[in-house]
Amino acid sequence: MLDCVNVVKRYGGMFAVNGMSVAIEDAHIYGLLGPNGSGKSTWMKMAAGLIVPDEGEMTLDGVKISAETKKHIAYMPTEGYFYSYMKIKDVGRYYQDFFDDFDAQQFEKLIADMDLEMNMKVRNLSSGMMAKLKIAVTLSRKAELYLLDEPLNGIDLLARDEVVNTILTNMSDNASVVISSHLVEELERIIDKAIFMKDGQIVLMGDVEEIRQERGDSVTDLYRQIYG
Amino acid sequence: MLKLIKYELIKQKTSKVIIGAILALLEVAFLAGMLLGKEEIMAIAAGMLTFLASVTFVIVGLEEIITYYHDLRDKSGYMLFMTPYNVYEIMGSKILTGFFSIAAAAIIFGIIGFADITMVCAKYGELQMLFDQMKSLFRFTLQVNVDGMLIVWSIIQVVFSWVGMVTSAFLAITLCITIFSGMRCKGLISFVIYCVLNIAVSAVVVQILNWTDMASANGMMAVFSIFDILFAGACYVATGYILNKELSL
Amino acid sequence: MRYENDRPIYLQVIEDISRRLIQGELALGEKLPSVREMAVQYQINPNTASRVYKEMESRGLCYTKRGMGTFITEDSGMIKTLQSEMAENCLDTFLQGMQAIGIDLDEMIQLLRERYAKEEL
Repeated sequence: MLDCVNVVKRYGGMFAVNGMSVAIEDAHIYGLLGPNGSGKSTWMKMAAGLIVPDEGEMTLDGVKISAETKKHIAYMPTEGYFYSYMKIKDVGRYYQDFFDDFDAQQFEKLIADMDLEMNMKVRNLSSGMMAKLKIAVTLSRKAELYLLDEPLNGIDLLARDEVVNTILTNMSDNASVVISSHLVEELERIIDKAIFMKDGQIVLMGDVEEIRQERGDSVTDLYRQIYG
Repeated sequence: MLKLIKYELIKQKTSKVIIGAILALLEVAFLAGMLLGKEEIMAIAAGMLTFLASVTFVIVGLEEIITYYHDLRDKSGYMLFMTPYNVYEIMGSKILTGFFSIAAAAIIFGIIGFADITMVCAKYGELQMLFDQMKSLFRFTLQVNVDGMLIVWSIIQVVFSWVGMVTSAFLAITLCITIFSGMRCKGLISFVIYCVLNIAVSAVVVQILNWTDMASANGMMAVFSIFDILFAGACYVATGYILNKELSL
Repeated sequence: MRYENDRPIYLQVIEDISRRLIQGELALGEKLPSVREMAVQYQINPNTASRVYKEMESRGLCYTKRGMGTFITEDSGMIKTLQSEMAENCLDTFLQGMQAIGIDLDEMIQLLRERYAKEEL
Protein backbone atom coordinates (compact mmCIF):
# COMPACT_ATOMS: atom_id res chain seq x y z
CA MET A 1 0.00 0.00 0.00
CA LEU A 2 2.55 2.58 1.11
CA ASP A 3 5.97 2.10 -0.40
CA CYS A 4 8.94 3.99 0.84
CA VAL A 5 12.28 3.68 -0.93
CA ASN A 6 15.51 5.13 0.45
CA VAL A 7 13.94 8.23 1.87
CA VAL A 8 16.22 10.89 3.30
CA LYS A 9 15.45 14.13 5.12
CA ARG A 10 18.15 16.46 6.38
CA TYR A 11 17.92 19.45 8.65
CA GLY A 12 21.11 21.42 8.46
CA GLY A 13 23.82 18.88 9.08
CA MET A 14 21.56 16.42 10.84
CA PHE A 15 19.70 13.51 9.28
CA ALA A 16 16.17 13.13 10.59
CA VAL A 17 15.50 10.22 8.27
CA ASN A 18 18.52 8.53 6.76
CA GLY A 19 17.80 6.10 3.98
CA MET A 20 14.60 4.45 5.11
CA SER A 21 12.84 1.83 3.04
CA VAL A 22 9.68 0.06 4.08
CA ALA A 23 6.52 -1.38 2.57
CA ILE A 24 3.32 -0.90 4.55
CA GLU A 25 0.76 -3.53 3.61
CA ASP A 26 -3.01 -3.60 3.74
CA ALA A 27 -4.95 -4.59 6.83
CA HIS A 28 -2.22 -4.50 9.42
CA ILE A 29 -1.58 -2.39 12.45
CA TYR A 30 2.04 -1.34 12.59
CA GLY A 31 3.86 -0.10 15.64
CA LEU A 32 6.50 2.46 14.73
CA LEU A 33 8.78 2.32 17.72
CA GLY A 34 11.85 4.15 18.86
CA PRO A 35 13.03 6.91 21.18
CA ASN A 36 12.64 10.63 20.55
CA GLY A 37 14.57 11.79 17.55
CA SER A 38 14.64 8.43 15.79
CA GLY A 39 12.76 9.91 12.85
CA LYS A 40 9.26 8.54 13.43
CA SER A 41 7.38 11.83 13.23
CA THR A 42 9.41 13.06 10.28
CA TRP A 43 8.67 9.85 8.38
CA MET A 44 4.96 10.13 9.10
CA LYS A 45 4.83 13.73 8.02
CA MET A 46 6.53 12.79 4.77
CA ALA A 47 3.92 10.12 4.14
CA ALA A 48 1.24 12.70 4.93
CA GLY A 49 2.71 15.18 2.47
CA LEU A 50 3.63 17.76 5.10
CA ILE A 51 7.36 17.39 4.59
CA VAL A 52 9.07 16.91 1.25
CA PRO A 53 11.90 14.36 1.35
CA ASP A 54 15.33 15.39 0.12
CA GLU A 55 15.93 12.04 -1.53
CA GLY A 56 14.01 8.88 -2.19
CA GLU A 57 10.43 8.18 -3.08
CA MET A 58 7.18 7.49 -1.26
CA THR A 59 4.10 6.20 -3.02
CA LEU A 60 0.60 5.15 -2.01
CA ASP A 61 -0.69 2.40 -4.32
CA GLY A 62 1.85 3.56 -6.85
CA VAL A 63 0.88 7.23 -6.69
CA LYS A 64 3.54 9.67 -5.50
CA ILE A 65 2.69 11.46 -2.24
CA SER A 66 0.66 14.46 -3.38
CA ALA A 67 -2.74 16.12 -3.11
CA GLU A 68 -4.26 12.89 -4.45
CA THR A 69 -2.77 10.65 -1.76
CA LYS A 70 -3.84 13.06 0.98
CA LYS A 71 -7.40 12.05 0.19
CA HIS A 72 -6.71 8.53 1.40
CA ILE A 73 -4.29 9.10 4.25
CA ALA A 74 -5.48 10.28 7.66
CA TYR A 75 -2.64 11.77 9.66
CA MET A 76 -2.84 12.67 13.32
CA PRO A 77 0.05 14.79 14.61
CA THR A 78 1.42 14.61 18.14
CA GLU A 79 0.47 18.17 18.94
CA GLY A 80 -2.80 20.02 19.01
CA TYR A 81 -3.27 21.59 15.64
CA PHE A 82 -6.76 22.93 15.30
CA TYR A 83 -7.41 26.61 14.66
CA SER A 84 -7.95 28.21 18.05
CA TYR A 85 -11.03 30.10 16.93
CA MET A 86 -12.84 26.83 16.31
CA LYS A 87 -15.32 24.92 18.39
CA ILE A 88 -15.41 21.14 18.24
CA LYS A 89 -18.31 21.25 15.77
CA ASP A 90 -16.26 23.59 13.54
CA VAL A 91 -13.47 21.05 13.48
CA GLY A 92 -15.96 18.42 12.33
CA ARG A 93 -17.31 20.80 9.75
CA TYR A 94 -13.80 21.48 8.45
CA TYR A 95 -13.03 17.81 8.01
CA GLN A 96 -16.39 17.27 6.36
CA ASP A 97 -15.70 20.08 3.92
CA PHE A 98 -12.34 18.77 2.85
CA PHE A 99 -12.48 14.99 3.18
CA ASP A 100 -15.01 12.92 1.27
CA ASP A 101 -14.31 9.95 3.52
CA PHE A 102 -15.34 11.80 6.69
CA ASP A 103 -18.32 10.32 8.52
CA ALA A 104 -20.02 13.13 10.44
CA GLN A 105 -22.34 10.81 12.32
CA GLN A 106 -19.47 8.71 13.55
CA PHE A 107 -17.75 11.88 14.67
CA GLU A 108 -20.79 12.91 16.69
CA LYS A 109 -20.93 9.49 18.29
CA LEU A 110 -17.25 9.46 19.16
CA ILE A 111 -17.42 12.95 20.63
CA ALA A 112 -20.34 11.90 22.83
CA ASP A 113 -18.59 8.66 23.85
CA MET A 114 -15.57 10.65 24.91
CA ASP A 115 -17.56 13.05 27.07
CA LEU A 116 -16.90 16.04 24.87
CA GLU A 117 -19.42 18.53 23.56
CA MET A 118 -19.80 20.03 20.14
CA ASN A 119 -19.86 23.56 21.49
CA MET A 120 -16.64 23.39 23.43
CA LYS A 121 -13.99 25.81 22.24
CA VAL A 122 -10.72 24.32 21.09
CA ARG A 123 -8.70 26.85 23.04
CA ASN A 124 -10.37 25.79 26.29
CA LEU A 125 -9.64 22.08 25.95
CA SER A 126 -7.31 20.37 28.38
CA SER A 127 -4.54 18.29 26.87
CA GLY A 128 -6.50 15.11 27.57
CA MET A 129 -9.57 16.44 25.79
CA MET A 130 -7.47 17.64 22.90
CA ALA A 131 -5.95 14.18 22.53
CA LYS A 132 -9.42 12.66 22.42
CA LEU A 133 -10.67 15.17 19.89
CA LYS A 134 -7.74 14.43 17.61
CA ILE A 135 -8.47 10.73 17.72
CA ALA A 136 -12.18 11.28 17.20
CA VAL A 137 -11.76 13.42 14.15
CA THR A 138 -9.02 11.29 12.59
CA LEU A 139 -10.83 7.99 13.07
CA SER A 140 -14.07 9.41 11.73
CA ARG A 141 -12.39 9.36 8.36
CA LYS A 142 -12.71 6.09 6.45
CA ALA A 143 -9.15 6.28 5.19
CA GLU A 144 -6.93 3.67 3.58
CA LEU A 145 -4.02 4.48 5.83
CA TYR A 146 -4.04 5.98 9.28
CA LEU A 147 -0.87 7.54 10.62
CA LEU A 148 -1.19 8.18 14.33
CA ASP A 149 1.68 9.96 15.99
CA GLU A 150 1.68 9.20 19.71
CA PRO A 151 -2.08 8.80 20.03
CA LEU A 152 -1.92 7.87 23.70
CA ASN A 153 0.09 10.90 24.77
CA GLY A 154 -1.69 13.10 27.23
CA ILE A 155 -4.42 10.52 27.78
CA ASP A 156 -4.83 9.18 31.28
CA LEU A 157 -4.56 5.47 32.00
CA LEU A 158 -8.27 4.77 32.04
CA ALA A 159 -9.01 6.64 28.85
CA ARG A 160 -6.26 4.80 26.99
CA ASP A 161 -8.40 1.68 26.73
CA GLU A 162 -11.08 3.87 25.22
CA VAL A 163 -8.67 5.17 22.61
CA VAL A 164 -7.39 1.69 21.79
CA ASN A 165 -10.97 0.49 21.42
CA THR A 166 -11.77 3.42 19.22
CA ILE A 167 -8.86 2.57 16.95
CA LEU A 168 -9.91 -1.08 16.74
CA THR A 169 -13.57 -0.43 16.14
CA ASN A 170 -13.42 2.51 13.82
CA MET A 171 -10.67 1.86 11.35
CA SER A 172 -12.10 1.00 7.97
CA ASP A 173 -11.93 -2.59 6.73
CA ASN A 174 -8.71 -3.40 4.97
CA ALA A 175 -7.17 -0.16 6.16
CA SER A 176 -3.75 -0.09 7.72
CA VAL A 177 -2.71 1.86 10.75
CA VAL A 178 0.77 2.98 11.67
CA ILE A 179 1.01 4.00 15.31
CA SER A 180 4.13 5.60 16.62
CA SER A 181 4.59 5.52 20.33
CA HIS A 182 6.81 5.42 23.34
CA LEU A 183 4.14 3.53 25.24
CA VAL A 184 5.07 0.18 23.79
CA GLU A 185 3.38 -1.90 26.46
CA GLU A 186 -0.02 -0.33 25.96
CA LEU A 187 0.04 -0.92 22.25
CA GLU A 188 1.65 -4.33 22.21
CA ARG A 189 -1.63 -6.18 21.93
CA ILE A 190 -3.07 -4.29 19.04
CA ILE A 191 -0.10 -4.06 16.73
CA ASP A 192 0.71 -7.05 14.60
CA LYS A 193 3.88 -5.74 13.04
CA ALA A 194 6.64 -3.86 14.80
CA ILE A 195 9.05 -1.44 13.13
CA PHE A 196 11.98 -0.34 15.28
CA MET A 197 13.67 2.91 14.25
CA LYS A 198 16.96 4.36 15.34
CA ASP A 199 18.80 7.43 14.03
CA GLY A 200 16.51 7.78 11.07
CA GLN A 201 16.71 4.17 9.94
CA ILE A 202 14.88 0.92 10.51
CA VAL A 203 16.92 -1.44 12.67
CA LEU A 204 14.41 -4.25 12.96
CA MET A 205 11.01 -5.12 11.60
CA GLY A 206 8.91 -8.14 12.32
CA ASP A 207 5.62 -9.83 12.99
CA VAL A 208 4.69 -9.48 16.65
CA GLU A 209 3.41 -13.01 17.16
CA GLU A 210 6.45 -14.46 15.42
CA ILE A 211 8.73 -12.45 17.66
CA ARG A 212 6.98 -13.90 20.69
CA GLN A 213 7.01 -17.42 19.29
CA GLU A 214 10.58 -17.50 18.06
CA ARG A 215 12.35 -15.33 20.56
CA GLY A 216 10.13 -15.70 23.56
CA ASP A 217 10.23 -11.94 23.85
CA SER A 218 7.44 -9.45 23.84
CA VAL A 219 7.84 -6.33 21.80
CA THR A 220 8.45 -4.48 25.04
CA ASP A 221 11.30 -6.83 25.91
CA LEU A 222 12.74 -6.44 22.44
CA TYR A 223 12.47 -2.67 22.74
CA ARG A 224 14.56 -2.77 25.90
CA GLN A 225 17.09 -4.99 24.22
CA ILE A 226 17.48 -2.74 21.19
CA TYR A 227 17.60 0.61 22.95
CA GLY A 228 18.67 -0.29 26.46
CA MET B 1 -10.66 25.69 -4.03
CA LEU B 2 -13.72 27.64 -2.93
CA LYS B 3 -13.60 25.80 0.36
CA LEU B 4 -10.00 26.90 0.86
CA ILE B 5 -11.05 30.49 0.20
CA LYS B 6 -13.92 30.13 2.65
CA TYR B 7 -11.58 29.15 5.44
CA GLU B 8 -8.98 31.76 4.49
CA LEU B 9 -11.68 34.39 4.89
CA ILE B 10 -12.69 32.98 8.26
CA LYS B 11 -9.07 32.93 9.41
CA GLN B 12 -8.63 36.51 8.32
CA LYS B 13 -11.89 38.00 9.42
CA THR B 14 -10.58 40.02 12.37
CA SER B 15 -9.14 42.93 10.39
CA LYS B 16 -12.15 43.07 8.10
CA VAL B 17 -14.64 43.06 10.93
CA ILE B 18 -12.81 45.82 12.78
CA ILE B 19 -12.40 47.98 9.70
CA GLY B 20 -16.03 47.41 8.78
CA ALA B 21 -17.15 48.47 12.23
CA ILE B 22 -15.03 51.62 12.21
CA LEU B 23 -16.18 52.41 8.68
CA ALA B 24 -19.81 52.12 9.72
CA LEU B 25 -19.20 54.29 12.77
CA LEU B 26 -17.42 57.02 10.81
CA GLU B 27 -20.00 57.01 8.07
CA VAL B 28 -22.81 57.39 10.59
CA ALA B 29 -20.88 60.25 12.18
CA PHE B 30 -20.40 61.86 8.80
CA LEU B 31 -24.05 61.58 7.90
CA ALA B 32 -25.12 62.78 11.31
CA GLY B 33 -22.80 65.76 11.01
CA MET B 34 -24.23 66.56 7.62
CA LEU B 35 -27.84 66.25 8.67
CA LEU B 36 -27.35 68.23 11.86
CA GLY B 37 -25.30 70.89 10.12
CA LYS B 38 -22.29 70.20 12.34
CA GLU B 39 -19.57 70.86 9.83
CA GLU B 40 -16.63 70.07 12.11
CA ILE B 41 -17.93 66.56 12.70
CA MET B 42 -18.38 66.09 8.97
CA ALA B 43 -14.90 67.28 8.24
CA ILE B 44 -13.29 65.11 10.91
CA ALA B 45 -15.28 62.04 9.84
CA ALA B 46 -14.39 62.65 6.22
CA GLY B 47 -10.73 62.98 7.06
CA MET B 48 -10.75 59.84 9.12
CA LEU B 49 -12.58 57.94 6.41
CA THR B 50 -9.88 58.87 3.96
CA PHE B 51 -7.23 57.81 6.43
CA LEU B 52 -9.09 54.55 7.05
CA ALA B 53 -9.14 53.84 3.33
CA SER B 54 -5.38 53.98 3.06
CA VAL B 55 -4.84 52.11 6.32
CA THR B 56 -7.18 49.34 5.17
CA PHE B 57 -4.80 48.32 2.42
CA VAL B 58 -1.97 47.99 4.87
CA ILE B 59 -3.97 46.14 7.51
CA VAL B 60 -5.62 43.65 5.16
CA GLY B 61 -2.25 43.07 3.55
CA LEU B 62 -0.59 42.49 6.89
CA GLU B 63 -3.24 40.03 7.97
CA GLU B 64 -2.75 38.03 4.74
CA ILE B 65 0.96 37.91 5.25
CA ILE B 66 0.88 37.15 8.96
CA THR B 67 -1.68 34.38 8.42
CA TYR B 68 0.59 32.75 5.86
CA TYR B 69 3.53 33.03 8.23
CA HIS B 70 1.54 31.23 10.92
CA ASP B 71 0.48 28.58 8.42
CA LEU B 72 4.11 27.75 7.77
CA ARG B 73 5.34 28.13 11.31
CA ASP B 74 2.62 27.02 13.74
CA LYS B 75 1.04 23.63 14.28
CA SER B 76 -2.21 25.00 12.90
CA GLY B 77 -0.49 24.89 9.55
CA TYR B 78 -1.20 21.16 9.53
CA MET B 79 -4.88 21.98 9.15
CA LEU B 80 -4.19 23.77 5.91
CA PHE B 81 -1.52 21.60 4.37
CA MET B 82 -3.11 18.25 5.13
CA THR B 83 -6.09 19.14 2.95
CA PRO B 84 -6.06 17.31 -0.39
CA TYR B 85 -4.77 20.24 -2.44
CA ASN B 86 -1.40 20.94 -3.96
CA VAL B 87 0.64 24.00 -2.98
CA TYR B 88 -0.37 25.95 -6.07
CA GLU B 89 -4.03 25.58 -5.16
CA ILE B 90 -3.36 26.50 -1.56
CA MET B 91 -1.32 29.60 -2.42
CA GLY B 92 -3.76 30.44 -5.17
CA SER B 93 -6.62 30.42 -2.69
CA LYS B 94 -4.70 32.83 -0.47
CA ILE B 95 -4.02 35.21 -3.32
CA LEU B 96 -7.61 35.08 -4.50
CA THR B 97 -8.88 35.67 -0.98
CA GLY B 98 -6.68 38.73 -0.73
CA PHE B 99 -7.67 39.95 -4.15
CA PHE B 100 -11.38 39.65 -3.47
CA SER B 101 -11.00 41.27 -0.06
CA ILE B 102 -9.07 44.23 -1.28
CA ALA B 103 -11.18 44.65 -4.42
CA ALA B 104 -14.28 44.61 -2.25
CA ALA B 105 -12.71 47.14 0.09
CA ALA B 106 -11.76 49.39 -2.80
CA ILE B 107 -15.24 49.23 -4.27
CA ILE B 108 -16.94 49.84 -0.94
CA PHE B 109 -14.72 52.77 -0.07
CA GLY B 110 -15.12 54.02 -3.64
CA ILE B 111 -18.90 53.92 -3.49
CA ILE B 112 -19.06 55.51 -0.05
CA GLY B 113 -16.55 58.16 -1.04
CA PHE B 114 -18.44 58.94 -4.22
CA ALA B 115 -21.79 59.04 -2.40
CA ASP B 116 -20.45 61.24 0.38
CA ILE B 117 -18.82 63.69 -2.01
CA THR B 118 -21.95 63.87 -4.14
CA MET B 119 -24.12 64.52 -1.11
CA VAL B 120 -21.78 67.15 0.19
CA CYS B 121 -21.61 68.90 -3.17
CA ALA B 122 -25.36 68.82 -3.41
CA LYS B 123 -25.69 70.41 -0.02
CA TYR B 124 -22.86 72.87 -0.27
CA GLY B 125 -22.85 74.39 -3.73
CA GLU B 126 -19.50 76.13 -3.12
CA LEU B 127 -17.81 72.78 -2.77
CA GLN B 128 -19.09 71.70 -6.15
CA MET B 129 -17.48 74.80 -7.67
CA LEU B 130 -14.25 74.00 -5.85
CA PHE B 131 -14.19 70.47 -7.24
CA ASP B 132 -14.89 71.72 -10.76
CA GLN B 133 -12.06 74.21 -10.48
CA MET B 134 -9.71 71.49 -9.28
CA LYS B 135 -10.68 69.31 -12.23
CA SER B 136 -9.91 72.16 -14.68
CA LEU B 137 -6.60 72.72 -12.97
CA PHE B 138 -5.68 69.04 -13.34
CA ARG B 139 -6.72 69.08 -17.00
CA PHE B 140 -4.78 72.20 -17.69
CA THR B 141 -1.52 71.51 -15.91
CA LEU B 142 -1.17 67.72 -15.96
CA GLN B 143 -3.35 66.87 -18.96
CA VAL B 144 -5.28 64.54 -16.70
CA ASN B 145 -9.03 64.13 -17.02
CA VAL B 146 -10.41 63.63 -13.55
CA ASP B 147 -13.36 61.51 -14.46
CA GLY B 148 -14.86 58.10 -13.84
CA MET B 149 -12.27 56.25 -15.96
CA LEU B 150 -9.42 57.72 -13.96
CA ILE B 151 -11.02 56.62 -10.73
CA VAL B 152 -11.60 53.14 -12.09
CA TRP B 153 -8.02 52.80 -13.33
CA SER B 154 -6.73 54.15 -10.04
CA ILE B 155 -8.62 51.53 -8.14
CA ILE B 156 -7.48 48.77 -10.49
CA GLN B 157 -3.88 49.88 -10.23
CA VAL B 158 -3.94 50.09 -6.46
CA VAL B 159 -5.54 46.65 -6.15
CA PHE B 160 -3.06 45.01 -8.49
CA SER B 161 -0.08 46.66 -6.92
CA TRP B 162 -1.36 45.41 -3.56
CA VAL B 163 -1.59 41.89 -4.98
CA GLY B 164 1.98 42.25 -6.21
CA MET B 165 3.21 43.37 -2.81
CA VAL B 166 1.44 40.58 -0.97
CA THR B 167 2.53 37.81 -3.34
CA SER B 168 6.13 38.97 -3.17
CA ALA B 169 5.79 38.97 0.61
CA PHE B 170 4.62 35.35 0.40
CA LEU B 171 7.72 34.56 -1.62
CA ALA B 172 9.99 36.35 0.84
CA ILE B 173 8.47 34.54 3.81
CA THR B 174 8.72 31.21 2.00
CA LEU B 175 12.39 31.82 1.30
CA CYS B 176 12.96 32.85 4.89
CA ILE B 177 11.36 29.76 6.37
CA THR B 178 12.52 27.14 3.89
CA ILE B 179 15.70 27.95 2.02
CA PHE B 180 17.20 30.37 4.52
CA SER B 181 16.05 28.42 7.54
CA GLY B 182 19.52 27.71 8.85
CA MET B 183 20.84 31.23 8.57
CA ARG B 184 21.01 33.77 11.33
CA CYS B 185 19.83 36.88 9.50
CA LYS B 186 17.19 35.08 7.50
CA GLY B 187 14.51 37.63 8.41
CA LEU B 188 16.63 40.55 7.38
CA ILE B 189 17.82 38.93 4.15
CA SER B 190 14.27 38.04 3.18
CA PHE B 191 13.06 41.53 3.92
CA VAL B 192 15.84 43.03 1.82
CA ILE B 193 14.98 40.70 -1.06
CA TYR B 194 11.37 41.75 -0.71
CA CYS B 195 12.19 45.44 -0.95
CA VAL B 196 14.62 44.93 -3.82
CA LEU B 197 12.07 42.94 -5.83
CA ASN B 198 9.33 45.53 -5.41
CA ILE B 199 11.58 48.47 -6.13
CA ALA B 200 13.03 46.72 -9.17
CA VAL B 201 9.60 46.11 -10.66
CA SER B 202 8.62 49.75 -10.23
CA ALA B 203 11.92 50.87 -11.75
CA VAL B 204 11.43 48.58 -14.73
CA VAL B 205 7.93 49.92 -15.35
CA VAL B 206 9.10 53.52 -15.12
CA GLN B 207 11.81 52.76 -17.68
CA ILE B 208 9.29 51.18 -20.02
CA LEU B 209 7.00 54.17 -19.67
CA ASN B 210 9.90 56.44 -20.54
CA TRP B 211 10.75 54.44 -23.63
CA THR B 212 7.19 54.25 -24.92
CA ASP B 213 6.64 57.86 -24.08
CA MET B 214 3.27 57.12 -22.55
CA ALA B 215 1.34 60.33 -22.04
CA SER B 216 -2.07 59.29 -20.80
CA ALA B 217 -2.50 58.81 -17.06
CA ASN B 218 -4.92 55.94 -17.61
CA GLY B 219 -2.41 54.32 -19.92
CA MET B 220 0.33 54.58 -17.33
CA MET B 221 -1.81 52.96 -14.71
CA ALA B 222 -2.75 50.21 -17.14
CA VAL B 223 0.91 49.45 -17.76
CA PHE B 224 1.67 49.41 -14.04
CA SER B 225 -1.27 47.10 -13.50
CA ILE B 226 -0.13 44.66 -16.15
CA PHE B 227 3.35 44.48 -14.74
CA ASP B 228 2.08 44.13 -11.21
CA ILE B 229 0.01 41.16 -12.28
CA LEU B 230 2.95 39.61 -14.11
CA PHE B 231 5.12 40.22 -11.06
CA ALA B 232 2.50 38.66 -8.79
CA GLY B 233 2.24 35.68 -11.14
CA ALA B 234 5.99 35.16 -11.12
CA CYS B 235 6.15 35.33 -7.33
CA TYR B 236 3.23 32.88 -7.10
CA VAL B 237 4.90 30.35 -9.36
CA ALA B 238 8.23 30.73 -7.59
CA THR B 239 6.60 30.28 -4.18
CA GLY B 240 4.78 27.16 -5.36
CA TYR B 241 7.95 25.71 -6.83
CA ILE B 242 9.91 26.26 -3.64
CA LEU B 243 7.17 24.82 -1.45
CA ASN B 244 6.98 21.73 -3.64
CA LYS B 245 10.64 21.06 -3.01
CA GLU B 246 11.15 22.33 0.49
CA LEU B 247 7.91 22.23 2.43
CA SER B 248 8.62 21.14 5.96
CA LEU B 249 6.02 21.60 8.65
CA MET C 1 -7.08 -9.83 30.43
CA ARG C 2 -3.38 -9.78 31.13
CA TYR C 3 -1.06 -11.25 28.58
CA GLU C 4 2.25 -12.91 29.24
CA ASN C 5 5.22 -11.67 27.34
CA ASP C 6 6.86 -14.81 26.16
CA ARG C 7 4.06 -16.53 24.32
CA PRO C 8 2.06 -15.50 21.30
CA ILE C 9 -1.09 -13.62 22.15
CA TYR C 10 -3.33 -15.74 19.94
CA LEU C 11 -2.44 -18.86 21.93
CA GLN C 12 -3.27 -17.10 25.18
CA VAL C 13 -6.65 -16.02 23.81
CA ILE C 14 -7.41 -19.60 22.74
CA GLU C 15 -6.57 -20.75 26.26
CA ASP C 16 -8.92 -18.18 27.70
CA ILE C 17 -11.75 -19.24 25.41
CA SER C 18 -11.07 -22.89 26.24
CA ARG C 19 -11.22 -22.10 29.94
CA ARG C 20 -14.51 -20.31 29.52
CA LEU C 21 -15.91 -23.28 27.66
CA ILE C 22 -14.78 -25.72 30.34
CA GLN C 23 -16.20 -23.56 33.10
CA GLY C 24 -19.53 -23.34 31.34
CA GLU C 25 -19.32 -19.62 30.60
CA LEU C 26 -19.56 -20.55 26.95
CA ALA C 27 -22.00 -23.22 25.83
CA LEU C 28 -21.44 -25.89 23.20
CA GLY C 29 -22.69 -24.64 19.86
CA GLU C 30 -22.80 -21.03 21.06
CA LYS C 31 -22.17 -18.31 18.55
CA LEU C 32 -18.84 -16.57 18.93
CA PRO C 33 -18.39 -12.84 18.32
CA SER C 34 -17.14 -11.61 14.95
CA VAL C 35 -13.42 -11.14 14.43
CA ARG C 36 -13.82 -7.41 14.88
CA GLU C 37 -15.86 -7.75 18.06
CA MET C 38 -13.46 -10.26 19.48
CA ALA C 39 -10.55 -7.97 18.74
CA VAL C 40 -12.22 -5.21 20.71
CA GLN C 41 -13.26 -7.54 23.51
CA TYR C 42 -9.77 -8.87 24.03
CA GLN C 43 -8.16 -5.60 22.97
CA ILE C 44 -6.05 -7.27 20.32
CA ASN C 45 -5.21 -6.77 16.69
CA PRO C 46 -7.93 -7.97 14.28
CA ASN C 47 -5.40 -10.12 12.43
CA THR C 48 -4.47 -11.81 15.68
CA ALA C 49 -8.19 -12.31 16.33
CA SER C 50 -8.74 -14.01 12.99
CA ARG C 51 -5.68 -16.15 13.69
CA VAL C 52 -7.35 -17.26 16.90
CA TYR C 53 -10.38 -18.52 15.04
CA LYS C 54 -8.30 -20.14 12.34
CA GLU C 55 -6.26 -22.05 14.86
CA MET C 56 -9.31 -22.97 16.91
CA GLU C 57 -11.01 -24.25 13.79
CA SER C 58 -8.03 -26.40 12.87
CA ARG C 59 -8.14 -27.89 16.36
CA GLY C 60 -11.81 -28.59 16.06
CA LEU C 61 -12.80 -26.11 18.73
CA CYS C 62 -15.07 -24.15 16.49
CA TYR C 63 -16.51 -24.09 13.01
CA THR C 64 -17.71 -21.41 10.60
CA LYS C 65 -21.09 -21.38 8.92
CA ARG C 66 -20.97 -19.22 5.83
CA GLY C 67 -22.95 -16.04 6.21
CA MET C 68 -23.83 -16.89 9.79
CA GLY C 69 -20.65 -16.66 11.79
CA THR C 70 -18.41 -18.80 13.93
CA PHE C 71 -19.75 -21.27 16.49
CA ILE C 72 -18.27 -23.33 19.31
CA THR C 73 -18.18 -27.00 18.47
CA GLU C 74 -21.17 -29.09 19.47
CA ASP C 75 -18.97 -32.04 20.31
CA SER C 76 -19.15 -32.53 24.08
CA GLY C 77 -16.07 -34.75 23.91
CA MET C 78 -14.11 -31.63 23.07
CA ILE C 79 -14.55 -30.33 26.60
CA LYS C 80 -12.94 -33.46 27.93
CA THR C 81 -10.09 -33.11 25.46
CA LEU C 82 -9.52 -29.52 26.45
CA GLN C 83 -9.60 -30.40 30.12
CA SER C 84 -6.95 -33.07 29.68
CA GLU C 85 -4.78 -30.74 27.62
CA MET C 86 -4.98 -27.96 30.15
CA ALA C 87 -4.49 -30.40 33.00
CA GLU C 88 -1.31 -31.59 31.26
CA ASN C 89 -0.02 -28.03 31.16
CA CYS C 90 -0.77 -27.47 34.83
CA LEU C 91 0.84 -30.77 35.73
CA ASP C 92 3.95 -29.94 33.70
CA THR C 93 4.32 -26.65 35.52
CA PHE C 94 3.64 -28.27 38.89
CA LEU C 95 6.06 -31.12 38.36
CA GLN C 96 8.79 -28.84 37.04
CA GLY C 97 8.39 -26.55 40.02
CA MET C 98 8.41 -29.38 42.55
CA GLN C 99 11.39 -31.12 41.02
CA ALA C 100 13.31 -27.88 41.01
CA ILE C 101 13.07 -27.75 44.80
CA GLY C 102 13.89 -31.42 45.18
CA ILE C 103 10.58 -32.92 46.21
CA ASP C 104 9.99 -36.52 45.23
CA LEU C 105 6.76 -38.17 44.10
CA ASP C 106 5.55 -39.49 47.49
CA GLU C 107 6.11 -36.15 49.18
CA MET C 108 4.37 -34.44 46.29
CA ILE C 109 1.26 -36.58 46.70
CA GLN C 110 1.16 -36.05 50.44
CA LEU C 111 1.59 -32.29 50.18
CA LEU C 112 -1.08 -32.27 47.49
CA ARG C 113 -3.61 -34.09 49.73
CA GLU C 114 -2.90 -31.79 52.66
CA ARG C 115 -3.16 -28.68 50.60
CA TYR C 116 -6.34 -29.81 48.90
CA ALA C 117 -7.92 -30.54 52.28
CA LYS C 118 -7.38 -26.95 53.37
CA GLU C 119 -9.48 -25.71 50.48
CA GLU C 120 -8.23 -22.17 50.71
CA LEU C 121 -7.42 -21.37 47.19
